[in-house]
Amino acid sequence: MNRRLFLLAGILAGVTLLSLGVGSATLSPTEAWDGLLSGLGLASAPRVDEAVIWELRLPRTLAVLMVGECLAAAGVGLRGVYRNPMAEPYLLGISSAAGLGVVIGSLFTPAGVPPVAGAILGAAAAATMALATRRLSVAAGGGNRLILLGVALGLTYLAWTVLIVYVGDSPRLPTFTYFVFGSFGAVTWRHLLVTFPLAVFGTAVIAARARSLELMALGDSQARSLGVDVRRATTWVLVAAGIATGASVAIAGVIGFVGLVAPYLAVRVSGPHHERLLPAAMAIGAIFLLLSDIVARSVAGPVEVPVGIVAAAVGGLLLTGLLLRSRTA
Amino acid sequence: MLSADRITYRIGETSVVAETSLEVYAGEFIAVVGPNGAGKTTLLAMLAGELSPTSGTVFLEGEPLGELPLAERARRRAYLPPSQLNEMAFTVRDVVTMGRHPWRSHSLADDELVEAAMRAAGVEVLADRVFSSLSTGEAQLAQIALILAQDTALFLLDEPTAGLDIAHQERVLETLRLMTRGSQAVVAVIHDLNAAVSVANRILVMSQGSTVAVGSPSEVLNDALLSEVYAHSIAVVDHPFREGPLILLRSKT
Repeated sequence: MNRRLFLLAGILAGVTLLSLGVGSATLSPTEAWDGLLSGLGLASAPRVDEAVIWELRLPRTLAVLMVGECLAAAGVGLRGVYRNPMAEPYLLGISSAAGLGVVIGSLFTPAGVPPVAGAILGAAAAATMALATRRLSVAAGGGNRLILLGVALGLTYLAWTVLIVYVGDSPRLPTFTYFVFGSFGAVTWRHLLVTFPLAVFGTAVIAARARSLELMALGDSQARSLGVDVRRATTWVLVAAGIATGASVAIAGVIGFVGLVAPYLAVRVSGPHHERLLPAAMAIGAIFLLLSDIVARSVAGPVEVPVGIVAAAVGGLLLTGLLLRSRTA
Repeated sequence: MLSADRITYRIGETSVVAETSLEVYAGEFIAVVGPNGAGKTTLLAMLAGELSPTSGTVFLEGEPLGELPLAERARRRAYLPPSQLNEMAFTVRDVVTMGRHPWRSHSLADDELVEAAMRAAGVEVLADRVFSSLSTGEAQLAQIALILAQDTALFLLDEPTAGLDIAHQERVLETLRLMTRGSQAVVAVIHDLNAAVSVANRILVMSQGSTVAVGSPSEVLNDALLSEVYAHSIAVVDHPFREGPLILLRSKT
């Protein structure tokens, strides 16, 4: 099993280099590597290569890595809490809540100021929505009705978001496509700096509660009787999943299905134990999103396709399969 | 070991369990019996600390259960909640190992306890099977193995024999009975009166939220009491093969 984790890490490193190389000026993985080292003064590469890598590709690639692992970690947390493989940030409406928060936050951010307000408001909105899913789950009678509620609310948030973007017509507001389908086209080091602490916090909290999530698979009463504070673990995991999602949305907009695809594949690669499942899911989330982003950048020539569309093309099919297989609608 | 002092559980105006007191001693096997809706599950959940009584107090080894941290409770008593179907990708051995969680040690002794618990519940041959692939009865046995692996002084089990065939039922009850030979105690909700009688030192009969009778099987069980509690004509005779009563249903016609 550990060998599989190493293999995943290897694939992740390879895809990361590939991502550094692909773009309007294509660099081979070796050129990309040299460019990367050259920025650290460890090698000499052509100045252009170095600039392309350090100013454009590196922040973008790091952002994709961060968002991929965040959405995957949030997915692992949410499916653990709700014991439902379809519980993930996008389908539960948490991503769209974050989107609404980010857009409102951006309205109050003067031009030229780091998008801190957007990130914080996005994370707060996402965490609130994540906590609200617990009530919604009880109200809906659990199961896939919670997913339906999440999708419905998500669409509502999205509608409000789009409305604000249309009516607001402010240069500070992220553009429509960026928001609805997600894109890494506008990432800068500054965006990364603002969202990175939120991402670390969210992921670390989910990792710290991984053992509790594992025992909660037995059902809440059995987990409680084994000494797990189910209520507290649930609260922390929901808040953390919300904050991790908020960080992702603040940097790249609403990207669906990563939180669905990554844990789903990870269970098959690493088995159900959280100490392996969580890192495996995070690596798969990052690989999946890097590949999606590479496709998004290269499929239509100089024009970028929103990355969320590529992710949804795969994730939507997986969701369809899962829904057809699950008998409790 | 465990004592309940006039515990009541109310939902709105209805008392699901009313003013029930019970003392559980080391080495005892108490079977809780009674018709559906009598409050057996609620009583057991309160004894386990899963539900807080509306009034009254449960004491575990002299301390109020409600004030004990969850982790400490988990080292003193094990609780099998009413069975629910769980989709889990874990193997049976993984699930049983979760019973060692309260002790948070990963020693060789743990592994041995897990293996012993699986043997006791008769699931050692299923050890590497994925939990989701088990039948209802097998899943029930695996969850009993988990409780056994928890290795506490007190076991509270809500219908441990639900969904089991007679041979497995006997095996589970015999395993639980053997544990009471030491200083461990068992309180179990059991629907099958004859099964209850065959293992329990004491029987607690519940009806409509109240304790109707507590005592040794031969003391407590008689035609009149059971017929009234179950609203069905029931005869209690001497068991032909062993000491104790045998409970028979009279047909209505």
